[in-house]
Amino acid sequence: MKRRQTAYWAIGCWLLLTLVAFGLEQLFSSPKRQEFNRSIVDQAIQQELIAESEVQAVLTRQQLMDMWLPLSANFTLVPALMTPVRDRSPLRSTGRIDRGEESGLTTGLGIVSSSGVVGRIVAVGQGWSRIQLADDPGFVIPCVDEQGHRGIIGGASYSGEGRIKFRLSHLELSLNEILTTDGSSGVFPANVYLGIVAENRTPVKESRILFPQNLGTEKEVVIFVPIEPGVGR
Amino acid sequence: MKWSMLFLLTALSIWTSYVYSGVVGSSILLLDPVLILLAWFCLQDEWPRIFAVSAMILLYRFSLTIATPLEVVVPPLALIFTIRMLSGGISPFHFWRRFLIVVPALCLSHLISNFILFRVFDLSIERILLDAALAFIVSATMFSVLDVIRPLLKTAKYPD
Repeated sequence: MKRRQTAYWAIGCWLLLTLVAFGLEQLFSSPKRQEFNRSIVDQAIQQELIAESEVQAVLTRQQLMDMWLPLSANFTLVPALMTPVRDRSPLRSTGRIDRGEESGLTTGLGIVSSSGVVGRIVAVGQGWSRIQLADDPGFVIPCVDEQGHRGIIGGASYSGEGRIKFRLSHLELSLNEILTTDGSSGVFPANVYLGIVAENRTPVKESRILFPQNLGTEKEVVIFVPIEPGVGR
Repeated sequence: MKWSMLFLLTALSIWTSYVYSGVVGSSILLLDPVLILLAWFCLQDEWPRIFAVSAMILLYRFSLTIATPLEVVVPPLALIFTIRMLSGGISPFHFWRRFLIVVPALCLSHLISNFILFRVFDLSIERILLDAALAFIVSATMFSVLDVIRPLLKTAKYPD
């Protein structure tokens, strides 16, 4: 009987340790994450003024469309609201948008926000699409540095970061260098902001690249739907 | 009672994995409480229970994910296979020697996960030693809790 009691106590302690992790997450979180958490609190406060935020959303959406219009010669722009979703696989980084098949969306289409690349659509349904965020390990896209050298960038195992997977030309990154899309994938147009080099290391694959801030927060986004059928699928 | 406890332990480990993935970052692939629980069952338990735990884990990890079936299935399978293979040579009933089975199995599972996700096969000595040390610390911590819980799982033959 005593051993059984000890066993139940052990389960209780385990449960307690798991609950403690919620607090630990705050302790171990980076300044960027703290900023992200602060932004969530800000958002909650903002939600009290529902009517005002609705007007703001419409305005933001229109501003976003206007912002990406010059780059959308071969694309139709579809606005949507992106909500981050925690994936069941521990390292995956995903989100959901409120547009789907009814808006002509298919898998593989690129998504941007006012800060730059957000991710790509991986599953579509009626009124929803599941997206793979740019910092997901499975996300890969051709990129170009400020000198015009090309490479393939992919999500790293750290939140909000990316790594160079392949060098297509003599890509040598320097600190604070900006990386953009080169348009060759057909998913994004050229010159869309991808990220900034936060740490340049040798080999170049070890360099840390920061994707646009607050990648995993709820925000207004725009989806690039190619005008020519079959492109980007 | 036994099956409900099995379900409770699996659910608890899945929740622990979910919560701690935000704290340990990419190391969760090595220190995943779900895999450590599976390793504990694999050491000496009966196959039906190993299958039941594996099925619950796979069912959870397969639903609502963008992960490929390969990255969900292969690491646990590698873990089960390695543990069962090493158990033939090292006693899984010995309190300390069982870590000679579990730690290499966890490290191998981590290597495979890394390869599937990032196409990286890091076999440097310092990386392997660090992984082994981390795997030992976390599995020893979890095993000590699981060993205390074992009277609630009557059919398991765990070391006293």
